Formats: sequence, C-alpha cells, structure tokens
Amino acid sequence: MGTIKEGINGPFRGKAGSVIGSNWRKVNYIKGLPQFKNKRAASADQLLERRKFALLNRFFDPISTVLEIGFKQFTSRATGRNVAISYNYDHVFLIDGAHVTLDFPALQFSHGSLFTAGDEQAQVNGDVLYITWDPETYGMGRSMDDKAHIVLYEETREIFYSVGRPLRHEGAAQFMNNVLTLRPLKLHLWLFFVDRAGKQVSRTVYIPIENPEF
Amino acid sequence: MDIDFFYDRSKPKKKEQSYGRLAVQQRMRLAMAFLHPLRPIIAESWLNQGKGNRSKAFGQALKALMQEAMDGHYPDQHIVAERVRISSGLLPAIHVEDVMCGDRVLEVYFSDESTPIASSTDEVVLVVYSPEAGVAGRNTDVFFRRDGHIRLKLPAQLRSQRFHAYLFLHNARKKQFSRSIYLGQLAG
Repeated sequence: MGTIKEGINGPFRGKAGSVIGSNWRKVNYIKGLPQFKNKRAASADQLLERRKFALLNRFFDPISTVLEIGFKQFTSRATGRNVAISYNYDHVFLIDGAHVTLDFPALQFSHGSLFTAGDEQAQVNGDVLYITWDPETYGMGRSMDDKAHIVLYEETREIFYSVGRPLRHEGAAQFMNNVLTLRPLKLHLWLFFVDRAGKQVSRTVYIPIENPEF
Repeated sequence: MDIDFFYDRSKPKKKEQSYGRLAVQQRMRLAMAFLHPLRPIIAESWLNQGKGNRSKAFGQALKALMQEAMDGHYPDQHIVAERVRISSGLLPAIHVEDVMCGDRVLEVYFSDESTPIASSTDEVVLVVYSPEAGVAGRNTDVFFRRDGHIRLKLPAQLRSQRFHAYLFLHNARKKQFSRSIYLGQLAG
C-alpha cells in the first residue's frame, strides 16, 4: 500500500494557460511567466549577495563531479553543487566593503561520517607536489581501501588540477606539472576520502602547502 | 561542545515551536552527533540490548545517553562524557590502576578479581574519541583480561588535542559485554 501525494491526480504536470507544472528530482514545481519586472535598482546588500552567489557558483562549476561524490547522500532532491553552495555559503566569504573573496581553507567539498586521515602534509619540490597523510586505520571509521579525492586549485590562473585517486593505505600522492615552476603561484589543496562502495565520505581537510618560494 | 552537523536551512519554520519540543530536538541532535562516529563499536557492544539488530542497538545507546548523560537546560544542554555508556552488559569490568598518556600512545594498566562469569580470555577494548574532531580510534592489537595492560596508538588528529577514553570488555564470542568505564579526558 502506498500513500497518494498531492491529491488523487498526483502533482500538477503540463501546461495550463501561462503556468507550467514539472517535476525534477522528486520536487514538484509550478513555473509561471513573470508578472512584472522590477525596475528598482538593487540595493548594496542585494548586490553583495549576488556577488557572493556568483563567486561561489563560478568556483564550483569545474568541480561539479567532485561535489556529486562529496555530497552524494544529500543529492536526492538537489545537485551536488546546490548542496555544496548551501553548505558553504554561510562561512566561506571574506568581505571587505563591497569586495568579496573566498576563504579557501574554509571550503568543504564533502560531508560525511568517514574519518579523515590526519597528519596531512604537502610540499612542492621543483615541478612535483608531494602529498602525504596518515595511512593507518586505527580500528574504526576508516578502511585501507578508501579512495582519496584530492582537489588542487591554482588561484592566480583559476585552474583546477586532477591529482589522481590513491587509496588511504598508500598514504601519499604525487602531482607533477610545469605549472609548479611558474611564479607567482598560489596553490590550494583539499583532501577527502570516499569508501569503496562510494556511500560514505569524510569531511574535507585543507592542506597548507609548505614552500617559502611562493 | 561544538559539533557541526548538516541541516536543511531551506525550510523555514513557520510556527514558533514550544520550549519542550526545542529542548528534546536539541537533546536528540547532541546525542546523535556524539554517538554517530562510534557506530561501529555500538553496533557490537549494545547488540544484546538491541535484540540482535544493529539499528535497534544504536537506538538503545541513544536512549541511554539522552536519559543519563545530558546536563543543563535548553538552550545550554550538554553531554557529560563521563556518564556516556558506549557499551552495556553484565560481564564483570576491571579495576583501572593507571592511565599513561604519551605523545603517540595511550597505555592503561588494570587488575581483576576472578569471578565465575569472568574469563581470563575476555578481550579488552580501549576507545579514544574526540567529538569536536569527530574522530575515534580503538586498539588494533588484541589484549586479554589476564594481560593486565592495554596499549593503543593514538590517531594523528588526537595527538594535539583533548579526547575522551573509554574501556570495556567482551568475551571471545562477542556475545557478552561489560559496562564501559570512563578513563577521563586526556591530552595527547
């Protein structure tokens, strides 16, 4: 036996006059034509909110597949990027008057109960970035075969790089690219783990990169 | 205690909720946030109370925590880690004599009185847990009641911060468990 939602005919779908009913990820929508156009100029607060939203949306755009993995348990009624924006919006902005920038260490690309590795470190040597973490499992909350998802971002050139998917027990990863020899260089690195079944994820850890030459 | 958890901000509450309901909701949130990282342990150690069902076992542990280990009044309710039972049962516990917390290792020395129910082959489990970091660990080597000593390598995240330590025993078939003993809040 099931329960009937939204009446005997189900949710409204299709077109009736200027109204369109549709369904997306189990969410029922009714869309209509705009009744009026607001001609008033946006206030300073509205502009600030729009800048914040645009900045975060643009930043998450290239890594939407990563966000689908990191927020998978919340994506039944939203996309990974929707959830990531909702989750990060409150705490990832550095606001200086009308100027908005991202607080990179505060960004989270995942949320879950899998334990993080601990002792995460990263170092650039020439054109190689060395990343290490504690590979042990300590008896609970982690598995040897958890996959590490590493996100590397170069702030000056606004480019994300793929660093591969090593396993937790490997305890290390390397990234080799000529971009590491360029200056100026502003690198940001995040790490989170996903279990073998792809169901459980850990929180995201920001790894500061040690290199005084930057 | 600062534990963050995921919640849906997109659903504004239209009606202001009653004090009692808000208090119970906060108790539930705190209890869930505290116990959730310990699920793998609780699924075994409360299994008898959950009548063999892992989900019911967690529910029983949650109920016990909300009844016994909560302090304060809404909105300042908090969990008293000392009163939290991460395992429950009738197996006789041990007498803890010394707790030595080093930089990377936690060692506990204990003694035992022989009773008809207790067996020298009962396994001892030592659990360290920081709800703030959301990280826990347990001993990976096997230690028995007769050893009088247990050793645990601290997870990297707990080496630089305070954590709670609990100890309990179970028999070789993991059918009988002891009530957990709180060893205190320690610093790595």
